[in-house]
Amino acid sequence: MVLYYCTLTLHDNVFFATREMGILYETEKYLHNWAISFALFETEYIPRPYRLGGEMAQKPSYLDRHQEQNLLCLNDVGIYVFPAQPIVWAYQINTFKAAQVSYYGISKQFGEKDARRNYPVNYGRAKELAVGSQYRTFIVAPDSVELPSQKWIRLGKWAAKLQVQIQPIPESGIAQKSGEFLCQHPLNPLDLPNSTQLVLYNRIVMPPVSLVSQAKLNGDYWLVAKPSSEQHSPQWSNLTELPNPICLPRGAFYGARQSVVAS
Amino acid sequence: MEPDNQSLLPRSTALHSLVIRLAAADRGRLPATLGRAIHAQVMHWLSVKDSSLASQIHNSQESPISLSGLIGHRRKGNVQPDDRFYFRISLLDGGLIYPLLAGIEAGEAEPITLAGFPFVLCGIDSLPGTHAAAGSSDYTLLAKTPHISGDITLQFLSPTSFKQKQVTQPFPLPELVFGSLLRRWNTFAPLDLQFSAIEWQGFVSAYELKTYAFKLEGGAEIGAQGIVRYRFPNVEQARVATVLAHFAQFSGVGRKTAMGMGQAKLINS
Repeated sequence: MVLYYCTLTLHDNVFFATREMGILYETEKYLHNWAISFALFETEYIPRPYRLGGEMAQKPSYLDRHQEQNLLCLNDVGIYVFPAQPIVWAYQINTFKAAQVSYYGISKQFGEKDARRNYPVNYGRAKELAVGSQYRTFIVAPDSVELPSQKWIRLGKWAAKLQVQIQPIPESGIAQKSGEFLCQHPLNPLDLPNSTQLVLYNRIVMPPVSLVSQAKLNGDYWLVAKPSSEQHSPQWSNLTELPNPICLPRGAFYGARQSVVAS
Repeated sequence: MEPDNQSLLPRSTALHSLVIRLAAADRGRLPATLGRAIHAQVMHWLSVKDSSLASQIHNSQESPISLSGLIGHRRKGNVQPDDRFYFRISLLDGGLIYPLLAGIEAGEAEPITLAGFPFVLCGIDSLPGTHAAAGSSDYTLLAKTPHISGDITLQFLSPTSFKQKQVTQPFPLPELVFGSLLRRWNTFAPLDLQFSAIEWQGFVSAYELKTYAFKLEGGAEIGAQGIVRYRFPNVEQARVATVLAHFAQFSGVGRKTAMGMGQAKLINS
């Protein structure tokens, strides 16, 4: 099993409707691990149906074994992606014209009685993560799975382009521990093994499953620590951004605690 | 009378202050005080997972919960969508954190309505250092607080008042402030850490206070807000007062701390 350090750089604005406040649609600054997992591994490890119709269309299939496109396919291979933590981030707010559909609101023409301004009344504002924002995450994968060192993925409602850099963390810097630990990296509580206890945490409210950050946990974990400067090997030279030290829970997989239903 | 909260389950010696971050989901006018609405929301979260626990807390003589009002920038006119606010929930019984967090998690997809105004939940901060108002401690740790000087400066962040001889006293006299804190400490702290009754001999050495009206359903409550410095010439009383002053940021001081009154913090010791 290899632990990879992964950085993501936004080359487009990324937008998810994490929160809807009036006409403002806001993107949470953290990236959900399920979204990144689909973006990184669909077609190769998660089947991507050409077209879905009927009852299955528009229905999320994160942990539904009966649906073709589900994350449990990654469990079978042994791949797990942690949520992404923002390193540098900025927002851009864009105004868009919403569809004038009868079930949403009565359409207004320019100059009509209630259309007092010289723009359509059916509009919204999207608070998007701006180009240049950078993220870090970690990927666990077996040795047999060869991950490319550089990759482009598309993410979010606008299928925004992100550059992904993946680097393996040398085994010499990873120690296996058990007990109480503080994890600075965001985690998906639904993916934590039952043997890992969440003691105290900050919660990031976002669909489909809210994440936790800066969590105090009890269980098995990896302690990732760079060796001292004189013992640096060339393998560590590209991992300058890696937080030192960092603890990550061991044994996480998609839907480890399936009693909670994703919305 | 034996305090009702003795039967609360589970007991823990931990103290927690959680920050609930909200964003306005609409535009409109917000009432000046939302203490009652926040109290109702917190009780609702607790009752989601354990309704008997919520009713025990509701009926208890000393509430194990103290709440702040809605904190954040208020525009002069209407609140706009995405205006950010937060409120603080302090738990004097650490065992309440699990039912509370579970209750919030169960209902986090639902919009939160405070006094008829819709909000969306943005996040919960519970770890010290991640938000200025978030924190956690333990009765055992607080009891070991080193005593540095006889001067204790408290800041009353929301209107604070006390019941004194059947009338409401808004001035935070030392015996009222530390008497109130001592009573709450003895209600929730483990038996071996409780203090014996004290006849306080401290005095107010400086203050900068103003009275404010705190609007509740039954009418406005007048309370003092500002900074007060207390001096305790007696060394043992100063030590106990230092411990209680640190406890004040979790427990609140005086009356109606579960409605947003009496929020206090220690400035220095």
